[in-house]
Amino acid sequence: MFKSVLHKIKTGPRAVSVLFVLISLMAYHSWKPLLAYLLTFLAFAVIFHVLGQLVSRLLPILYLGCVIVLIHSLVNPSNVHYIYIFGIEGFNYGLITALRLFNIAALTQLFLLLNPLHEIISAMSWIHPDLGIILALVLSTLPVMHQQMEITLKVQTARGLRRGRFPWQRLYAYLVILIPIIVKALVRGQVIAQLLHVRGYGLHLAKRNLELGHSDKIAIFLSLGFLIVNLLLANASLLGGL
Amino acid sequence: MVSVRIDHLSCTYNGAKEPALKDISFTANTGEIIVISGNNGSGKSTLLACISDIIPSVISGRIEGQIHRQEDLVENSWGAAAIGVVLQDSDVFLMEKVYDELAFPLRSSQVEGPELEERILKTAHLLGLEDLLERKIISLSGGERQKAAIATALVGDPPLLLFDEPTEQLDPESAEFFGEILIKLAAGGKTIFVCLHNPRKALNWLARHIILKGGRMIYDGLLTEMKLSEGEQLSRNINLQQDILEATDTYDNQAYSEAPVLELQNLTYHYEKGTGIEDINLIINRKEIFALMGPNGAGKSTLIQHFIGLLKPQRGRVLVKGKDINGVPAWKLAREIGILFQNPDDQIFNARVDEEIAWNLTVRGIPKNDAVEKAHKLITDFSLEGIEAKHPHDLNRSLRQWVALASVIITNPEILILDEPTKMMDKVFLVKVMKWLLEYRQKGGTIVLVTHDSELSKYADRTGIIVKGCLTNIKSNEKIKSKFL
Repeated sequence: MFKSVLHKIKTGPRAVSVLFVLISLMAYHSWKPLLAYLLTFLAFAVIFHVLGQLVSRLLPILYLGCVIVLIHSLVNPSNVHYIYIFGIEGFNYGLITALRLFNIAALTQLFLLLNPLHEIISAMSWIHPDLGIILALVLSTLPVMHQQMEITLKVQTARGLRRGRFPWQRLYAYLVILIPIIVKALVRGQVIAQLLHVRGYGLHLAKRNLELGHSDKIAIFLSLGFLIVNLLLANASLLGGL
Repeated sequence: MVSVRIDHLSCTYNGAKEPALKDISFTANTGEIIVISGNNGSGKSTLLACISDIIPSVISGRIEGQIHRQEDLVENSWGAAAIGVVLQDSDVFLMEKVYDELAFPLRSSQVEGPELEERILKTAHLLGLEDLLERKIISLSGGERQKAAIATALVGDPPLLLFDEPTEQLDPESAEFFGEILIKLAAGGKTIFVCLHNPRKALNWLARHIILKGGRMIYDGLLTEMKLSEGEQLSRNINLQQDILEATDTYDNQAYSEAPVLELQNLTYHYEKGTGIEDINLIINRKEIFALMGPNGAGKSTLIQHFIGLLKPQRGRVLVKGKDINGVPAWKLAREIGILFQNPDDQIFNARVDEEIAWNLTVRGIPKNDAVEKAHKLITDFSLEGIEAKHPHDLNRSLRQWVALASVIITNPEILILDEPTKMMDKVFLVKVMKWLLEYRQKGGTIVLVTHDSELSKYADRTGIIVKGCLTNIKSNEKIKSKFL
């Protein structure tokens, strides 16, 4: 049922709906609704058979989230009550921040997994003709930068680079790896500009008019309603808490 | 019919003192293949950039003279870009997947639906890319990426094709196949320009040959005939091996010693996507030159990374001088094994050439002054005085590759592994480097050469062929070597 409903909605209105849901996430200041949202997104991933891919993309965020919780627990200035060295207020704050980050990542990754890239690019050109290609280039470049980091690390290690124990040794090692990556990124940018030119980008560039169907309008309306309801609920709980 | 006419073309990059192209004039006809050759810095890529309008539209430069293109080359009947271009750096791409990359020029021309699908499948089939369409480009080997770049240039069926070093990363079989495609395309009425630093590869293409030197055109004729021009002596036959042998005072054909320095026992390694190497057994002896060849994506680079400990075997063992290197960190192995990777830009980070070369010593604790002094000596040995203080990125590709090689050989490793060392080097450099390598070998060094260049592999004592991750054949080159003595 979900699949057939989703199929009727174009990529552009889906993107708008996702945007409204993302804004809704910002409204909450409690971990319980954020956790509920996260579990909902994971459930969607199961329904659409992309759970494995989603989880693998979210793993780096999981590590980051754990670091955020740990740091706030230890050093958040609002820490008053402690369990051993971990402040409860800081833990709560860190957990909310991490869950919010996790939700944003999960929702955006879910959107990318369920929508072909060329349709996203096409939908983005509704806002501005160049926006779609900018998104495509960012998405294609990020894994390249990651791969380049691995390659450069291998190459410099083969030349004798050691990542020592001390912070200044590690900082030097990062410099040795980062400089070639930055240089290659700049060169890559220039080559990308040439490629865009020779492959005809811009020949027929124009702001597209998005034609909304019946299902598209309902989706946007419902997601806007969802946003308003969440804002009201979030405010109500905040006031209730006060 | 004249397709492109160049009249007294000169091009000067912004901020440059000298023009990169000087007074070039020629015409290109429909159905012609024109091979443009010359050393690094001769102006080959600049000429293609001018013809494709990259200069001045994307790269700033002052153009003098005229470039006339046939009327329908501005934009063809269905609005596509009428020039298909493969840039020198085919490792850069726009989209994540091969299919989207091929679709890009078509979608830019608002081609969608069944026609888009049909064109992509037809072009993929032409280049043997059908199985790779849904793959991420980042997961492809260098040669496969180059094929994808060529396919992207061809997919729009443009009448004018410009290729800059299109066979650089292709194995010999793929390069030959590419030549056959070019001949067919030319017979179909396309005008094709190909830049090659080694025009030998185009001998069977029935091509016209333009040679550039210092930005000037010094020859324009058939590839099999060469005229003497401006007092320059051009050899009638491009024979790399003969030149190297002449440059080498003596060629020691002593058999290598039967003392294993590198050994692989049942080595197996698989990547997540399933490719890799399977059950490799190999012994490489001291003073041996061992060449490793194979098609793109066969596993050559995967294999050699095990020697230096950058990859750990999933099964099997790797032994260096009789000792299992399991658990030995790569930086430690680097003291005995020097490895030159394909792309020097992956490693260059110092602001001076001498410091970049010396870094392999300074990182091991050698005082900087001593290391730089050794770098200066190496620069002098190769007759490259004057480049010490330059920024490595200001050098041409050939010199940058040499800087990377110099940073490896400065440590005097007992074993040298060279991954495509000739890929970016022009002939002048290649002769110097090969001479040094042969002398190094005579002093007791061992060399493992990963190459597509069959001419280079003839210097090896043995050649190993790896196909789809398996070492299928190891042959001795004794009989071939004896021809040159």
